[in-house]
Amino acid sequence: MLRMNSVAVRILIADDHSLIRNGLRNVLARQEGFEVIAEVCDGREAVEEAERRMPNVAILDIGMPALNGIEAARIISEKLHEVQIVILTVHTDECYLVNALKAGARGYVLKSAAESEIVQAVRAVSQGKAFFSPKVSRILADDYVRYLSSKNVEDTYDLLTGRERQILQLLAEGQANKDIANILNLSPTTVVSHRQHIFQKLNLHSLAELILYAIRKGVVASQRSGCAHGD
Amino acid sequence: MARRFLTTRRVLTSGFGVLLILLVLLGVNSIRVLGELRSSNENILADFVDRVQRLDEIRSAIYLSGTYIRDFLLEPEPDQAEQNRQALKNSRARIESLLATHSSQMGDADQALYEALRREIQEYWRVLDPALAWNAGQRKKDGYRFLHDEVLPRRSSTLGIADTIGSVNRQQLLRRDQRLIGLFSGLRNELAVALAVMFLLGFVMAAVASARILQLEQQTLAHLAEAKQARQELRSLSMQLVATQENERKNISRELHDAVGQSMSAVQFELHDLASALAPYPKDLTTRVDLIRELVESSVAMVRNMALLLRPSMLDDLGLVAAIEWQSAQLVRATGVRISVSSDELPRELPDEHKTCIFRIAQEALNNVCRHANANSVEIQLSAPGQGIAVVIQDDGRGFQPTRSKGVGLIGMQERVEGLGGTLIIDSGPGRGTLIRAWLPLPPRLDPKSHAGAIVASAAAPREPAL
Repeated sequence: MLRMNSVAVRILIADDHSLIRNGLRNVLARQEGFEVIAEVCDGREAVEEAERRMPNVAILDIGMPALNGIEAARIISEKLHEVQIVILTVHTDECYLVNALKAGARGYVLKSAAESEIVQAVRAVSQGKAFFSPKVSRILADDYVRYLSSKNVEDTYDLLTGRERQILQLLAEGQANKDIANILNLSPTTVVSHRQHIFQKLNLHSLAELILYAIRKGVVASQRSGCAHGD
Repeated sequence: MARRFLTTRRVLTSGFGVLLILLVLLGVNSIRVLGELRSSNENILADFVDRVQRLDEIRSAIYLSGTYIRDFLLEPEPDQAEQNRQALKNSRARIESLLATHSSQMGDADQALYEALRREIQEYWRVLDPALAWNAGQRKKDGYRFLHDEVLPRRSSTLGIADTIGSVNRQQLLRRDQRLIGLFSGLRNELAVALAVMFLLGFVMAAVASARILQLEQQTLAHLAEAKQARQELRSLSMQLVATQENERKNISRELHDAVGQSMSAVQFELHDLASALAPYPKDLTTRVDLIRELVESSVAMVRNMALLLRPSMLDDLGLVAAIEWQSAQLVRATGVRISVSSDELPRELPDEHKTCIFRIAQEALNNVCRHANANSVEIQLSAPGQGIAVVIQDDGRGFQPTRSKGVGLIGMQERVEGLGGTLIIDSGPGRGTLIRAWLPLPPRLDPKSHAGAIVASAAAPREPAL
């Protein structure tokens, strides 16, 4: 909240198509509190500019020359923990989403809906939350349902308690254990224990997998109004 | 013209044929002549010995008769004298018989001499005959004189003739011997000439044959080198084709994506704006705009699928393993076959050619599984053994006979793998599934695995919010 009102969100745009860059810049510039500080057109420049300018949010296209967006995201998230990453792409395949998450991205926006969604995405990740294009979530959820029905596998979601489901959602949105404890009025140790249960019951091995699962289940609220939970 | 007539076969057959025939003829002839020589030699020797012997016998008979005559003429006793006379008669008979046997085996030259001898001997006996009738008194009176004046000279001249005959025999022996030597020399010269001719002919044949063989060898080596070069060129051409094809696919795929994607994005932007602009208007207009947006979406999706079929962007964006996983997922969705993909840590930066090759092999194998194999499960294993990269694809399907029907796709794979210096093994048999194992050597780099390890490890743990 503090962040939003006083200091502008500094944004780096990386895409090898000028049309896209211009479109994004225009949309973001119109937003109050957003400042586009750099535009680059390949992955290596993206890493260099990020190191130099330390933006709050880096929007990375996947298909860039020299270094693709996923690799750039990997390097940036490893070196510069403060920079939040939004991946901008045409790909809706699950493997792209998984790799983006593994590389440290918090947002995943489809180019076809970039204009309408990019603002929400930037706002969400700048507040430490996650954002995924609804279409992606839909595709993945549909896929998952089809997968489940074809395999006659029980939906593991049913194994979770109500509390665990709440915590699942908050985790997928990017909340820290401490914050979750605050929101739900629990002790941090309880939250940790619930978290372990969730991972066990759903047979998940990393936060990335958990986020993916949440997207598939459609429990990640990706079209929030963008207000911080503390308001 | 002459060249056509003188084919290698004809030259060799006639040359060696003549050589062999000469050899055979020479051999046969030599053996024959040597046989002749030997038997002639034996005959001559036997003949000579015979004659000498007989002549000696005649001579000794004549000497003996001389002795008997002397004894007879000087013997006073009538009984003894009678004995001597009888002995002399025997001696005469013997000489007669010797002469008789001898005359039957003579040549013309000898005939004359032996006639002379015979006449002398006849004279000899003629002179002796009257004395044989003498009584003791006559013998005493004229005996010694007769012996000295008549008998001895007669005997000497007879013996002289015998000696002549002896020397004639010897001469004849020498003559015959010379003839044999002549025959022998003739044979030796014949041999020498024939051997010289055969040697020359052999030498010529050897030279001709060697020259031809060397020429053929040179030609063969040249052909071999040509063939090897042609094969190499073919291989390099084939690799170039493959590279060009993949590049083309990559470019088309990307172009489809970008160009179509971009223009469709622009269309979407415009439609979005249009929808906003139409907000105050009746709802059905915005509904129609939404419909158009959906149509655009599905077009984009179609184009995207085509592009991915050509060459999945995951291969370039996310890496080999991700691409193979994606391809497998597509197939799982389409066929329900169980596909498991597992991978060891692979070098971070795989050269494009190698990455593409391994991917295409996996793709081809998976397609084959779906089309032919009737399998229930497929296992794909990726690893990086021995400075290279390997993929193993095992299915539990129908199997096939690799020697009989390998299929164009797999042959193409083999070419590609071998062009990159790797190996492809296909192990399959009816009823025992199929195992495909491919290995490609990687160009040497500074230890890529440790580099990859560092990055993968840190990226594998996405930023956990602080606990």
